[in-house]
Amino acid sequence: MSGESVPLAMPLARPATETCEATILYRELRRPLLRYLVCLGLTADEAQDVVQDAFVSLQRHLAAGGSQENIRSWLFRVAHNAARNRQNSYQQRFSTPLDAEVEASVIDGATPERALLEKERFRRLHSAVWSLAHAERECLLLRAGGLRYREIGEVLGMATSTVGDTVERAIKKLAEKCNV
Amino acid sequence: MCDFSRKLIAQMDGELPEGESAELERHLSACADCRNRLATYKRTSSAFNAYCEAKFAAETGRKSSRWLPAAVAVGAAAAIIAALLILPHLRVAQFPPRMSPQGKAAPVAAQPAEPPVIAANPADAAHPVPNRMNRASRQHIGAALPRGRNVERETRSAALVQSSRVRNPTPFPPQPPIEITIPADAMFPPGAVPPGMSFTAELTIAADGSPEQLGLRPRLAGFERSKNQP
Repeated sequence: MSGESVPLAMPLARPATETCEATILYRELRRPLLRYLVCLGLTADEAQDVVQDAFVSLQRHLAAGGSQENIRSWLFRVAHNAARNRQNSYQQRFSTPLDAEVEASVIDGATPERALLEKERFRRLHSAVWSLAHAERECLLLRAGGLRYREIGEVLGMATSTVGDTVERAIKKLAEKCNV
Repeated sequence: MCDFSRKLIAQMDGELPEGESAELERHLSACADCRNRLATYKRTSSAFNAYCEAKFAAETGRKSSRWLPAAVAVGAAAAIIAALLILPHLRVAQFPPRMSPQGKAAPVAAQPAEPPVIAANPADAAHPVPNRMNRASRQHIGAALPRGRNVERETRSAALVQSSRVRNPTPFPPQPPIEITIPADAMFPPGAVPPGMSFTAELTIAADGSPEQLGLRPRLAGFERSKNQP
């Protein structure tokens, strides 16, 4: 959480619209944001903090009369930058091996043979994901969060065509390494 | 590799302009290689999404799993207490009603020939031990009884029945104890208590069937007192 004081309630001017807008966005985007941040390498607690901060910033942005255009990419950009600022855990967790919990969730309920295959397939995918360049991984994660190429470009500060090339390169790499 | 292969992923993501998209669709109907590539990219994309979901679920699940053992224990304890509160009410109907002031007795409910012993563990149910409570626990429960009370209270536990029989002769026949044996695994997370540990619940209820007192007595298999021991 930032040290700067944060308004706990909306200002009296234009309260209804912004609250409504922020609430709708919160319901729609909270989970994709959390998932993006967790997959980026943050812990669940860190991701919660970042998302909380992002929505507080959104309220302030809307209360100050900020533009409501591209608000989805605006939120992802705020969250992405906050995650980037937590470089320690971000870098550290990028290099961590596949968690036992992740493996367990994949093979949950499968027969032993099927579980073994799934586990192996998932390990290969994990290794392939972490071997991607940062930009490639981030593009894929944002794309998995439902963002369009234009929005991904706004979050990462890239041209839309560059996003297209990066996504294409990343998927081809994954397909080649995972042999799915 | 044909020229269209570079546009397959953009097509999959719906990022191609309408004209190009239609042109690519026509090409796909004729090019098996591009169709195969597109299918591979779709599988890769799905696998990546599944990976993200699993990682997210594992991370958020790990956070909640810290509280899981405590939640299980609290839930089990709540279920046991709820069962203990309900069961005595079922037994109240088996007691003969109190004599009316005019000396007329209301119809007497049927008395079961063999007192039921309720055991959560099927092994315990096979070997009911109605009067297994030792002297110490009888004294403990007896001491917990409020002194000076008349027959307004009664108990369904063996100790209480025995003590009330001595101090307060009542028109009620002595009742066998209800013992509810609860396996420790039902109350605590696995490994939290030694194997073979169980708990015996001792419940005191008032004449109106409302619960008064509940005690849980731990019991470890193999360490029970023999009949000859004091």
